[in-house]
Amino acid sequence: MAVTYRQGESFLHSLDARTKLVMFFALTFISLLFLDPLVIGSLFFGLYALAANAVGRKTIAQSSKPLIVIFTMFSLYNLYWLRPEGAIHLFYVLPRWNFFPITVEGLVRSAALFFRFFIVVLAIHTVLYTTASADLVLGLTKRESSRQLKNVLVYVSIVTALLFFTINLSWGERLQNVSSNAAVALGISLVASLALAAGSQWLLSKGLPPEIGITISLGFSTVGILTEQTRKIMDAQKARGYEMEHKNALLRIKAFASSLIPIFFATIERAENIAIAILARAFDFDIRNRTYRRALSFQKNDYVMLAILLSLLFVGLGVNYLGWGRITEIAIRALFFR
Amino acid sequence: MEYDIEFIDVSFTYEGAESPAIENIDLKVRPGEVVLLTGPSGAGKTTLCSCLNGLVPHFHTGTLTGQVLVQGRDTRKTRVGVLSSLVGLVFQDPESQLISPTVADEIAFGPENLAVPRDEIVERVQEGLRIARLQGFEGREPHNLSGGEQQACAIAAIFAMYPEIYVMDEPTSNLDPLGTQHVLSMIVKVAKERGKTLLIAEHKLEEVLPLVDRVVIMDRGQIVRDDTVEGTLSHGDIAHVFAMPSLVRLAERLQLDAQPLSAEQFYTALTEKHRLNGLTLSIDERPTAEEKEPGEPVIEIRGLCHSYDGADAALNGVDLTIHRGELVSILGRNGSGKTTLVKHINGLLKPDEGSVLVLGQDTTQTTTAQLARQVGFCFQNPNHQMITFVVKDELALGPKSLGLGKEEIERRSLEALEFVDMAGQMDADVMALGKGQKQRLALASVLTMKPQILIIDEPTTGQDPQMTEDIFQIIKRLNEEGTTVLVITHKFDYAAAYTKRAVILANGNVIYDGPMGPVLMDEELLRENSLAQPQITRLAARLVDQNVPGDIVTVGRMVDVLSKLIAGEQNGRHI
Repeated sequence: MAVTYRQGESFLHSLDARTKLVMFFALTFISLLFLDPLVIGSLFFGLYALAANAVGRKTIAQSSKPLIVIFTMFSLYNLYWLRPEGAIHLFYVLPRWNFFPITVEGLVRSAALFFRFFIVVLAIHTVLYTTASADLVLGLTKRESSRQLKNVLVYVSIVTALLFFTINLSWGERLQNVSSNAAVALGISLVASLALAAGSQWLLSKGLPPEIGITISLGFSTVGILTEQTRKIMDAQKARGYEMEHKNALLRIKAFASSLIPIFFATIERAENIAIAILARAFDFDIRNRTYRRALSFQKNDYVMLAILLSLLFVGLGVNYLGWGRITEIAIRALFFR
Repeated sequence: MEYDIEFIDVSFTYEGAESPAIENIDLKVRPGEVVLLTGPSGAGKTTLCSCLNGLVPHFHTGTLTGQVLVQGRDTRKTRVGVLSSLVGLVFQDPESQLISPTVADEIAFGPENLAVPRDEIVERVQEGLRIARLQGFEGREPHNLSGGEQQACAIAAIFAMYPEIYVMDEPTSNLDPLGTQHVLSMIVKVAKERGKTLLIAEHKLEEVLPLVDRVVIMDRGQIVRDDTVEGTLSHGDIAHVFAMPSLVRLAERLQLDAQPLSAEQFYTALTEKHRLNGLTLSIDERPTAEEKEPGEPVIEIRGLCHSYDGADAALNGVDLTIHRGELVSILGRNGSGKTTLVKHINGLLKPDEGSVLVLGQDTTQTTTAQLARQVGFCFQNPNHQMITFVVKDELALGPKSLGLGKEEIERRSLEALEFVDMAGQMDADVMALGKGQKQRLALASVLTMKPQILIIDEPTTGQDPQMTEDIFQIIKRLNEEGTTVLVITHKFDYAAAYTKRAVILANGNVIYDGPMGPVLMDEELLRENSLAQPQITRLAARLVDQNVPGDIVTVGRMVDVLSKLIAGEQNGRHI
């Protein structure tokens, strides 16, 4: 089933498309910071709870089920390679030949890898399920409102405050190394926070050129249409006596191959039709100054979400810096292999 | 500016084509004129329309000679974007021109490109929704709408751009009859209200002629007639190019001094010339319909229910029996469940509830491929069926899957091609065939499997009247040779003329199953199911006092009946 927008009124649905894009990038970044199943697993289940609340567990299961097998296989494969020096050996898969050793670290990190892949996929699925493609594209595209002074000031103030507190709480001692004078240290952290906030605002306000944004939007809209078209073509082939429901996978692939020519031509035809349709509606009239019916604006929920994400991001950086990033391994060693 | 549109000796040959698509076109259209562009498929209407917003020559490349001026701008020197802001062009296939995730986004797309301020875009979207009767559909995905709704959405998207010139290229080809009437009247009303120029390319003369000021007829890339409606009709038919509406032909046959476009106009003209008061057709003069004994049941559907999403029922307890040798029309408005029903007969869909027996075989117990040996299925879009590049390979596919020998395959291929009047095209390139020929090839490739039952889904979409007539003739011949045929069609006049039994679906239920005659005479039933009574039948209804049968649908039969009536008047047979 295609991962496409589902209408709804959940917390995630209420968020601005840009907030959800930040969520995706922040979760991806955090999952790269840690290789710990407890940390990434907690984030994963937190996100899962939000997504399930938005579109239902059934919908998520439909798109995620095939991935469980793939990610499990990949994690098992990595068991062989994830053997850091000094790892705690448990047993061999093939003890007779001392082949494929299983270690505590290997198990822990493979489990973390599983969640790392899954959280990235779940995050992007969540964004696609809860955001209309037009809003998503608008979130990625350069537009007038993103340059409004009021919006810029609100954004920069909040993010600066968040960063300022995060830096001082996480790296207070280190700030003292920069300057023993507490006021100077605070000033440095404030300037750094302001610079980071202004920089991120600048990055967010840049966006994509409108033509790229519209291309992406057309891509999203076309997925469903091409899926439907492919189904119609395959129905037509079945109706002509083509056995598409072979139990033998090879025969099934062979039968599917017979549909490739009409699918190929239908896709080319569709692409040409899209080009004609957008040109006939003045697509190249004045693309740089085109306007938008939809308008994006940050609401309370967006600020809450952004605050959570930024907190997670900076707390994660701090925790990782302090060497507590592999808390599961540390706990297992402390509890069972002292 | 004297003219909105000027073609000055324009010819255009597509890149790679041997002959020009349009040739020596001279055409001038004044601001505010409503012009009908008609002519057979392949006459060059779409190319002419595409010249107006610059798709020719900027997108469709080729050799353009002469000059096309749109509000004084030379299209060769003006960008498509600028021309599209002046010329709103709607194409015949609505599905192919809808590109946005929601109806509201679709309508807003044009104004957004024209950099219209956001508040005004919102207003234009609301106005477009209102004009197209799509309020409540704002958040729907355009490709999930019915054909009629999709076309209304495509038209609303153009209306919202406020162009100076509206160009509609067969805007009703996918619509049911009442949808056609609604869309045509909506287009003309908006153009007239806004005082804009309108060019409509259409085959449906009966519906569109009363709405236009001028008629331009094209054939083989050239304009062969350009006149007022009256002038066009007074010059009569052009063989294989232009056939006058049925009532005008009838008036001509009865030598009435009129060009009636409605039954009422015809009746007035008839009663002005002949005194019909008190004149009736005697019962023995009324032609009697031949009754044929039905064969054994070949399709038995009981309590059939189907839902695509588990919530809304597409079919809701359908019971239907089709007998061997029948030719049945499946009718109903867009989205009534017609295609869903017939897809159960060849097993493409399986019943959620109920049963479907085809030649005694339960469709749940077999695959579509196995059923295809007995049940031929022609899809609406022939492109979806074509797998190969050469006609003979396409014809051989079905028999090959049956495991037939080379000689038998060749014999069947020749026979099928001859049957659809395409003999001699065995080595033709499939992709180079026109839409009408592709439709026939699709039919021929099904016929090579010699099915006992044939299902044809909308075989005449976007085809001109001559091609439609040809397809129905083929269907009739097939049926006469013993094939049981089910045809889904919006061409109600053809369905009424060629088939004896009608099955009407509404909201997934069979609401009528019986002879065609009573359907023709039941205006309420027709209206409720978006079917329009043919003009000849309307005239028959108007002549009910004269005892004229109400189920007449063809000009020939009406001529016979009226001739008898008139003869009665001349013989003084007043009753």
